[in-house]
Amino acid sequence: MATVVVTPVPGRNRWLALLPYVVLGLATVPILVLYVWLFYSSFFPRIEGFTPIGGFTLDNWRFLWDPASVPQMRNRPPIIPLTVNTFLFATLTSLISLLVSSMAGYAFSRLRFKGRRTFLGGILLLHSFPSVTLLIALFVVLRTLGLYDKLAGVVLVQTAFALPFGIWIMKGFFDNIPWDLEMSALVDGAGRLRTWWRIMLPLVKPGLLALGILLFVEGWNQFLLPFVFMPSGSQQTLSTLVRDPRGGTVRRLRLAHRRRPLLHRADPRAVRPRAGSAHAHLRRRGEGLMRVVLEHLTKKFGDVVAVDAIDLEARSGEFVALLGPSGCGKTTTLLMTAGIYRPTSGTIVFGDRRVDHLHPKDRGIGMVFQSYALYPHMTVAENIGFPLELQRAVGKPERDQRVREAAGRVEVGDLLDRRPAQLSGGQQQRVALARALVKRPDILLLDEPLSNLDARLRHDMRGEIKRLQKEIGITSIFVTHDQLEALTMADRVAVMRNGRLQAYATPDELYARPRNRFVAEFIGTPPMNFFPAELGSRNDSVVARAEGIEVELTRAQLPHGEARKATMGVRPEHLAIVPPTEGNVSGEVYVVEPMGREQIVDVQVGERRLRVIAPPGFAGRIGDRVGLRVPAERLHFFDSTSGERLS
Amino acid sequence: MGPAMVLVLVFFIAPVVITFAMSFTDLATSTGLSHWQWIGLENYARIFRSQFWLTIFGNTLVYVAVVLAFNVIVGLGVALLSVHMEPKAGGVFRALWLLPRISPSVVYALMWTWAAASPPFGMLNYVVAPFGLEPRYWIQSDPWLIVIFINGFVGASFGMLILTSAIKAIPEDLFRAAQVDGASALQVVRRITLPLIKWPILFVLVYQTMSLFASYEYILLTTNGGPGLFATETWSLWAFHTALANYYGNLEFGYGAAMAAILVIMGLGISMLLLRVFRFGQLVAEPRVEAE
Repeated sequence: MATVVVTPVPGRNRWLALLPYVVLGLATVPILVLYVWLFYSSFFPRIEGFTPIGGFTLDNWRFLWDPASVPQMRNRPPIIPLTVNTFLFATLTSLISLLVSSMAGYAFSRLRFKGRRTFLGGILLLHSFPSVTLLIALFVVLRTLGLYDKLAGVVLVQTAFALPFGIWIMKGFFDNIPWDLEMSALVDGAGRLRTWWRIMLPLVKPGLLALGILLFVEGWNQFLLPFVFMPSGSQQTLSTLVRDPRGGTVRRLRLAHRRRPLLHRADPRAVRPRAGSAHAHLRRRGEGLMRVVLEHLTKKFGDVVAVDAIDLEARSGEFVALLGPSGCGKTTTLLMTAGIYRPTSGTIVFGDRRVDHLHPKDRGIGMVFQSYALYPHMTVAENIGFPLELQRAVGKPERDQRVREAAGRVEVGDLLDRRPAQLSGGQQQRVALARALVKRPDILLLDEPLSNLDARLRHDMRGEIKRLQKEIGITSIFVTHDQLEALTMADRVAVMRNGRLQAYATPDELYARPRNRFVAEFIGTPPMNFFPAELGSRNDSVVARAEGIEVELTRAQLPHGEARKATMGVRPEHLAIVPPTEGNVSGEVYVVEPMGREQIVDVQVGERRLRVIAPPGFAGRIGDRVGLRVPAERLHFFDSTSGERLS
Repeated sequence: MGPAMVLVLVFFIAPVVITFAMSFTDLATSTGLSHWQWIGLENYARIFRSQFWLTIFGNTLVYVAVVLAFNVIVGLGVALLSVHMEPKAGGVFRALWLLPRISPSVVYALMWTWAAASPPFGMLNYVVAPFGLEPRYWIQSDPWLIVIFINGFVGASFGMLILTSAIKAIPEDLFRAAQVDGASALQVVRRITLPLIKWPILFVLVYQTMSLFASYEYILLTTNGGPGLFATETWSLWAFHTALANYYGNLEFGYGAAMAAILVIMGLGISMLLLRVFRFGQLVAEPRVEAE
């Protein structure tokens, strides 16, 4: 937890920094005085104001070792059993409450089930019921269950009373844990219960501690419940002792003369043990390589269609990129493949097995998250070993061996004892890769694996991940918004926009023959130049006219070349700058951006500005007139309304 | 999940239902558990026939409003001041403010009654003497003052705990950015901290409101509703006195249950209102993982 110290800027008024101390110090005086005074007066027979009457004495403390000396204590059980009782009561209630409220808090924070909100609101409202007025009813319940005058009964009542608070506090703590960590644990092969125990619980330790202390103190101080529900003196607690010498205000409920239960015994079958995983028989067959087929995959969030009927196949051992601008549905598609999201409709097939109803842990996948989702409370070795630990079949020696092997493969073998916080971004990324690969998954999923790295490292890792994927030969899908990453790493790239698949092809094909205008614009830097064009026939060929450019094309290039309007596109690297009198069109240099290996030149042609890649030798200046050569065979034509490729 | 449901159901919801049912009976020590009868709304009618119900109702509203304000404002103040200190000093102050909560309620209440004892014993008289105040028996002369202070200091620690952790959860970069932008300490609090902990503040508000409606313990242990007739009696204390600590020895459970039921309806109304302000629906976000 970060500590916030808002220190005044040096040179500012230094006294300002002391202000909080002074104000809070003064406000604390009443509390302090009260306690100091109590302690001080306990060493004197009597005290008037601050003036002790009589000399210093330990008489007031004598009951600790000589209870019989104090008249009020004579008929009371001795201190020791009372203390034991109190301790037992407080410990049991706080432990049970902690366990139950951390489980329920997790459920309310992370699981979907019916009536979640209602129940959560309901238990908060329950809190407005004064516990004291429930005493009679509780008495009836306890007696019916045979728990009256038993420690267990009071413990359960106290626990039930502590739960609303505990559940709310724990829910708050669980809410703050990043989702990535939990998704990652699920993919690593943990069920919900194990995720709670191994990942979530360690991360909310401060919350558990704080809640535990509060609950323990509450239990330690509780006097009403033990007093009322454990009338046999020997089972009372310390607080009842302090209270009682002043004369009993709380009367014990001695109503139990006639046994006439108002309630029937609670049905013991209410908690039914859950049957084992329904898909236990569907273990993957572990043949290593497998294709991934998404058929008509659709995901809606309420009315919003995030992914719209995607069809996609990744062949065995293929490296597929999902590419698109943010919000296009690519990560949603990946999370559906991982099993984190449930498809609204459509199917997911791994190999020849339908998996869309399977839990992430049963899908045989490894995954690297954008944030890497390394478990902060585990060392590197423990992080990498976690998926293996969850598969009971792998013994400790083999696990160590495989962790070292995976770590060595991504070159983090010497960092095994470190914690994630002590690693650089690149190292964290490697550890995440090792963790995804260590259980030898059939399929590797990567969500923006490089976006958190600096430019240099990104370049290095691009090559490394590609090489690793080919070495292992694992079918892999990765999500990226960076077209350069997609083109350089993937065997095939699926371009997505607004939840729809725009194109699915090899990088070469995407570049050379983009299927529609969106793909043409999205792939390639700087992006393709577009202009509206008129197509018309002339003799045996087709002529395209746009912005004073006239190009003659062969029939083969535009087979449906009837007269029509279209959008013409040409990539900057395919335009050539020539003297003003040559070429297809002329224009004026608008700006020149030297990039070292090449220069990007913007040329104003009529209303439009064209980007051109020029060799470093080009010496044009702003305002110079230049000609442009447009090669007919490098032109792309798209339908001006639908954007579909015409050729 | 399961165990929580069962526990809450058996030991919380069931008693609540039984209590509601009891409010329609004449169950009391005089009837015993076997000779009670359904008497319909008679208990409710009796409450509103009582000549004290308005006094007690007013007392409850004053008590909840004033102590709530004390709790939340002081709790927020302590949280803010203690995070603007050296971490260690802040921790010490927070620990001191926790003392009233972690002391047994009985002990804490006795400390106040002793401190406010009649002259010459009470320490309070000596503390206020330099301000020219007459020594007096505070619990007799100013019972509300004592009730508000004793509850205020206990309740403030709840807000302090929740709000401190909320403030600490704010990314430190935001504070740095605000300082770089030239905000003074006060401006940082007003423009950055407070807006970001709006929801925890509202949670504390709702939770404390409900706690206060239901609380009676410290009043019971200090003024016990007095001095005189119902001077500091609040609704829940009234229910307690009627059902469990009646002067006449006849503990009227049914009548007390009716009082509790009305209290719950009051609490429910105000909580609903606060939850609306709270925008409860937004607080409970949908889980993102859909597996299972």
